Amino acid sequence: MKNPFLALLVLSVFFVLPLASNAAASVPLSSLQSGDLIRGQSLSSVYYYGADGLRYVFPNDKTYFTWYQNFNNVKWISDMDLAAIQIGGNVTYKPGVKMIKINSDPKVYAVSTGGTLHALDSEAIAKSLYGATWNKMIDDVADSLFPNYKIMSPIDLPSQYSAEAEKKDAVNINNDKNLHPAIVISIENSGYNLPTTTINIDTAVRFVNHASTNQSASEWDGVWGSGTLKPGEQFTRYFRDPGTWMYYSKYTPKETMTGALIVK
Amino acid sequence: MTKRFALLSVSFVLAVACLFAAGMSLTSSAQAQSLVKPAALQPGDLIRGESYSAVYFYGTDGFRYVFPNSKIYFTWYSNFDSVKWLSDADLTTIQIGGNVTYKPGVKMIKINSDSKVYVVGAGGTLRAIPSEAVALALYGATWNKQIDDLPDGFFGNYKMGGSLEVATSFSVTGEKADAASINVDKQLKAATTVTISSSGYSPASITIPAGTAVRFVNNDSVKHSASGDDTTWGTGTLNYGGNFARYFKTAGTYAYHDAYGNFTGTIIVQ
Repeated sequence: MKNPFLALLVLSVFFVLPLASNAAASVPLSSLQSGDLIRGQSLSSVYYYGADGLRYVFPNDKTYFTWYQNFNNVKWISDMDLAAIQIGGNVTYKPGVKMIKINSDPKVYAVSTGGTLHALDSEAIAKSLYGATWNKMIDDVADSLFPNYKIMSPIDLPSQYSAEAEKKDAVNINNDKNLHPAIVISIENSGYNLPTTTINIDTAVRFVNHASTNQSASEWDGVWGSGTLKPGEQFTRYFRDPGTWMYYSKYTPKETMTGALIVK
Repeated sequence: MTKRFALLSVSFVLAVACLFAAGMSLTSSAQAQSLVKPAALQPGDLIRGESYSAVYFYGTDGFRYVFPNSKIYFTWYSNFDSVKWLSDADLTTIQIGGNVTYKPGVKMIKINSDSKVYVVGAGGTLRAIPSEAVALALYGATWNKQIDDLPDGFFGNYKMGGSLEVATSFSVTGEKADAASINVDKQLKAATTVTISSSGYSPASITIPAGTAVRFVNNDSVKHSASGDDTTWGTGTLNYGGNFARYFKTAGTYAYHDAYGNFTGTIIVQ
């Protein structure tokens, strides 16, 4: 530990497997299933492969180990394939496993579905929810990861929260984050296969280029866009607000390739 | 192009590993300063507590915003000279609002598991740079020295805008000039204050625009709360002088009550 560089590496929060274990062969992208744990060849970060086809970051090992015991089921994919999977966000603590706090505030929170937090109003409540060793079950979360959580109502009665029930309800990260498969819009030589699509808010749309040339799905005013998609490439985006979006392909006359997305 | 970016990323992995990713700390602990009270703070101040060296941006909405690492801090500030010190107890009373993102225009960013390079626009909006030629046109011959690797865990703080296509659709100097402060970049607005006294909430009914915050301040000598009738939100127990703020993002009518008495109030979010 004399080497300061090594010391810093250890300090680094973003989560890296301790030592390069033996490299495993890459599995093809098409063999991945929703809910798989994945990593690339060069970098050791592990991600959760969500139902929406995006990868979710474990911000540190403490978060990882609330969901998993070990790294036995991690699938290796090529660096290129990993790059093709967009990042969707961060994984939060599994509900019910630990309480969390930040170091600049003594408030202690119980974790519920989707990273929602409930402040514990007193020591007595913490004790009745987590038993005599409650004070050993609190993790300090870095300030910069605290915005991944959402503060909800405080707990002033023990009957308002059950750690066991929360754990049981949190079957997996897909469930916890309420992830669903993306709506797929295929780009064909003749145009978008779903030129007018209506979706619910908070739904992901994936544009996949099945045409024989470069294409894009670019919002008319440039507010969002896939960028250049080579044949076979794809781009996914979440639509969080209601409204109507018009988009086109920069590589094809607007008349042939225009789409409308109605978000309700 | 892609290959060039990929090569670059290797050296950045090393650079990034050296950075503290966990909320930035001042390197050498400066001498303790005289303390200021929260009431004396102005929106836009930089603040820190006594025990921990993390520096925060004090927003117009009364929340503190985290600098996830020193690289982000130094896109906005060139030193720590104007940081104000609070007591730890006072810092505790200021809630965390979110993370500060890169100042628009200053740097390009990427993540180490993807070779795509992005420019940063207002409010942490990223736009992919499609080619080396566009990067060169925007950032000059040293463009490849002006790319920061962002840890994966902070990538979720950014929004994806349309890709750039042509250099003229982004102006480095224009973006920098528009980003006058973090308040402007995040479009933070002042919270609406509801005070609690022995006679109840004041004002007992308020109407606010969606996406703004309400701050409850207990000025009474006994405990009170503002607890949502639908039980999804609440201040928790507020002692004398205690305060709690919450953002209301969705339009609707939010009724609340005092868990320690008979007071009731309403927030109409439009």
